[in-house]
Amino acid sequence: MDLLETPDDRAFREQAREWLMASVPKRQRPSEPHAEKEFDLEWQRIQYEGGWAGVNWPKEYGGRGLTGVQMMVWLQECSRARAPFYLNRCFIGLYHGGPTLIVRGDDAQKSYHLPKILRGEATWCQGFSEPGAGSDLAALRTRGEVDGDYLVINGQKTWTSGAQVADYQELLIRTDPDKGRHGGLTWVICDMKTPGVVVQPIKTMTGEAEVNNTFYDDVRIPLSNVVGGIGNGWSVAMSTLGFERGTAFIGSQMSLSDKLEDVVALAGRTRLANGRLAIKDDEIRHKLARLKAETSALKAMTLESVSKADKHDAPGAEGSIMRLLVTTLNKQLYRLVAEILGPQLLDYGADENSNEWAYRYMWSMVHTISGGTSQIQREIIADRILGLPRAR
Amino acid sequence: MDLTLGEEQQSVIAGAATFLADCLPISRLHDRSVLCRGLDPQILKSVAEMGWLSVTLGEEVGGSSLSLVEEVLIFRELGRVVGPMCLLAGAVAARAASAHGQSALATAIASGEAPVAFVARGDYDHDPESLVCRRLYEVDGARWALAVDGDRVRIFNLGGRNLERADCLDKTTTAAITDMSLFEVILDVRDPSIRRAGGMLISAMLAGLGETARDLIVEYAKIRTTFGKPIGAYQAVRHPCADMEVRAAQAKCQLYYGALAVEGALPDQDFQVAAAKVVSCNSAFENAWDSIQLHGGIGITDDYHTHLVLKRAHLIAPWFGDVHEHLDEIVPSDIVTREAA
Repeated sequence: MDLLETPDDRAFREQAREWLMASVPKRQRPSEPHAEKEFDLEWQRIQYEGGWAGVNWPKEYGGRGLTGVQMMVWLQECSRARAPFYLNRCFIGLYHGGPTLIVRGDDAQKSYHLPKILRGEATWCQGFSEPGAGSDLAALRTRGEVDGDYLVINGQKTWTSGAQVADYQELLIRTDPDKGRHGGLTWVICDMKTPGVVVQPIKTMTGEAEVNNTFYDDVRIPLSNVVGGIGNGWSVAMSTLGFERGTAFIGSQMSLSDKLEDVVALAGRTRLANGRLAIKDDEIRHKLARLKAETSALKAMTLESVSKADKHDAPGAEGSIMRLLVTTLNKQLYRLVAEILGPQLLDYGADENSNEWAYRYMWSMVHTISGGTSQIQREIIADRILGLPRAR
Repeated sequence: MDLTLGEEQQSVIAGAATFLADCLPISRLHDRSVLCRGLDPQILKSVAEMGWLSVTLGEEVGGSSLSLVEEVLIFRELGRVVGPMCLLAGAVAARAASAHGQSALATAIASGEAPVAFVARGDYDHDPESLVCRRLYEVDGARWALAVDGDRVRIFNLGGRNLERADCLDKTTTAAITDMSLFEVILDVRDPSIRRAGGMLISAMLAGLGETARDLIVEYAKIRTTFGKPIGAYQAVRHPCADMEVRAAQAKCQLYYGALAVEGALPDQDFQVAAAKVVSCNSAFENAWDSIQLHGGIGITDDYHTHLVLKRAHLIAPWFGDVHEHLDEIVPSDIVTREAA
């Protein structure tokens, strides 16, 4: 147990810092979906050319093969350099689809898709949730029927972030309704240009339409796109989600402390209705201090988790503890922002660029729902860490 | 960077847990003959022989030359059993005596010759360093008393004088209220490292208390049934238990991180200590309150453990700085002017 950076780690941090300083794009990320995708792909290409693409991927697949600790350092430096946030249009490919193909895909799938993801040539979206299957993912009903060399898909997915611009989708469907809830599922790569795929944006409280309903009407997908074999979809999906609950959110965990410093600065220049600077208000100041202490603990938890992973201890359910904590703290932080800003919170148009604080305040409510609600994270902790009896 | 426990550290924890399960299980605190009396001198001796009062001290005073990390691991286990506070006072007093050239005193304390009492705050309407009318805890049989007010560290010789006992919410300690200026001061130094070490040891015990509060309800929720099901199957019980686990995990990891930061004298060590105190207080109090509630009626009885955990948290949380002081340390009220300067 130690907090010392090895000379290698220090050299790595300096290298990352230097590269980021020279390479982070200066222009603001646009909010129109297509322009946003182009921006994200361009940043991915810059990282690829600089040798920084796929930090979490093994070297043999063109990734950087970083250790957990190095990945934490990289994401810390990205946050410090205010680099484009990694939860962007490339996220599903880099942190979901790609890693799943690496573990469960066949050679043809790997050699076709992995380079495209890495080089910033394609974005992916996720097709798991349905109107009747969100927290209860295994209730999904979108059907896939084998017809010769094809799967024919009919049904609907929802909350598909970025579907309107994505090139591919990781799609989880029911191929055998008689094999129980988890038995008859299949994980398949869907080319979003396939005839019969219709994407319908859902406008959210931010005024933007980042998420979508995706409809499938006799969509024909070649069987060669099935990953991990027909009927094995649940275990393939769990390898994806297991990954998500393990290390995919280190970036959020690392960036929270920088966000907090931004809010301390905001409180230092914003006056409350009573004329006092927000930071001079003891209640606000103490809430900020509590958040700083809790965020420090979250960073320590992240370090414990990545150092466990580096010792080949597979990430367990503790990822759910950190996910629950980071999204909860983030929400508390932006509620505090709303309190500090007072009427300025209301000066919001229709996108992030009109008022980033109001925008992030609304997003903080999304993050405790998306990717497994706080309630589902608590269920996982109760089941898998505390060993409490199950009601489900 | 690595925040996982090494094999030796795991065996430190296992050794401490085994000893405490045998000699100081939490159930001991329901034995009325134990209450209102200090720690059994035999147990104090055994603890001293295991080196718990001199974990970080050099061999010249009989210490083990380990680090603050091993020390917090032991004190977390003590927190789990609502362990005697004279051990913490003794460990910090021995550390201060040893650091300031009083080897004989350090050796006497560390070998468990007699317990050390802790001088807590008086009332708040006077100078925090004032000695008039201070609260003392763990006074039974104590030969010395330790006061740490900010960076000022004092050890007093109680000289076998009989102190008039005072009431205390936590019946597992023995208390007095007295004028400390009546006693001989045998060490008086300013040393922030003592406040930091003490703060980490208190954080360790608070973290242990939070874990016990969680463990009590999690085990009970598996066996207590209502409406034909164990209460642990209901989300109204499961979810607060999950929140307790989150708070306990925060307290544990910040404890490790803070101990390493102090041990390495990192530039942000004061922040790390304050953060450890804040999150471990959060775990101890919130978990104790939730644990009492979720137990239902049994949770408020004298016979059950939950109130002991809560009362102990109230006793020790202000030692080496209370939460408000720590929050002021983390975001000072003059932060804007400081940064401008």
